[in-house]
Amino acid sequence: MDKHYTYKTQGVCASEISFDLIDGHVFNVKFKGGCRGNTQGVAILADGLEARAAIKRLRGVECHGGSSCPDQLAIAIAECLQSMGENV
Amino acid sequence: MIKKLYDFRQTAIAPALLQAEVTGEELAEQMKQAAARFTTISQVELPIENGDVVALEFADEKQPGGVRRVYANVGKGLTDVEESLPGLRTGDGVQMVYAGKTVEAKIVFVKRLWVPELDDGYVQQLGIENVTTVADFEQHSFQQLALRQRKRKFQGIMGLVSKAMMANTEFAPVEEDNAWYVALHGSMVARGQAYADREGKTFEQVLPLLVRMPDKGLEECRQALKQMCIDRAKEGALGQAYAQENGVEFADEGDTAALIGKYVDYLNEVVFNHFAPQIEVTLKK
Repeated sequence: MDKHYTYKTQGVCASEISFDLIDGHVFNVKFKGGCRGNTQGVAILADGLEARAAIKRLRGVECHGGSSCPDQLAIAIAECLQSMGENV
Repeated sequence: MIKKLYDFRQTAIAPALLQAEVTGEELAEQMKQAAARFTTISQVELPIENGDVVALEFADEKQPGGVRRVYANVGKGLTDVEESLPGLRTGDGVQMVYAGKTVEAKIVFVKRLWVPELDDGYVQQLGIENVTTVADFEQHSFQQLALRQRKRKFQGIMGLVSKAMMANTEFAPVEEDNAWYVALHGSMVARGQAYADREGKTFEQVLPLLVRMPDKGLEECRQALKQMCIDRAKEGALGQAYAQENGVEFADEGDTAALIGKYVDYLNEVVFNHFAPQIEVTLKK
């Protein structure tokens, strides 16, 4: 199943992340707010990654001693998979 | 400490800082982003277009089953194969380079994103209070963009207000027994003395290093240090005075830097609330 997913972030500069999950892979990641260059870079690098591989890579990245935009993307992808009934 | 507090509302603001505009393109983009929340994805048997996600497969003996699947997000410019895909369909073959080798790949599916036209039903799903129609949402989006513009203009306004406040507030002479001055000056003297002792020098010899003005004369350094202390004390005092006038708690925590930080936050809020409604934001179609 494919899904367009929008996630409200917590504790980071970007306020929202959206992406498409197609055939278990992540596409078209968009950050609303946050450092423009960094979030664009993360979005491009994540494009086409297998969802679980993206979570593994991005989960736990820190910024200002807490969560980060990449970490929030990992959480968003995990949440999306869970909403589709998958164990993460 | 303060003989007469300057009323920031008297600050002359340049007319250009009180006018801003939101363009029709910005508003349309905001609406488009809202509609994108309701994007659906479906497999199509149509010629490939930019924006489609395409799966390709080719023989690869290293893969389980002898087939490797790769994806192309057409039009993103992330892979070389994207350029040759528009116009092709599911089942068509295409040459592509993978890991330095040219391979014959086959298109196994094409998925397309459909962004719906935003209507009242979708607007209600956004769950924004008192926003139930497209017209409501357009107004709401404009207000959000207008707030962003007001915050931008406010940076310039705040610069003028800060300057005017320091220039026009009447301070009593800051004596050397002033608490902030003594605290700051005292701590620097103590640090300087300790450093001088360690280096086997006199305090006078290390003072230029303390105030980071090695090329200036000693007396000039003393004056610079004193002026810095006085300025900080004044800023803290301004915050205290404004807090008292407006009935806001503004505690002296004994830390000059923290006190000034609080003052800046407080003043930003007060000044923004006063000037923001005066910034006229128009929609430029």
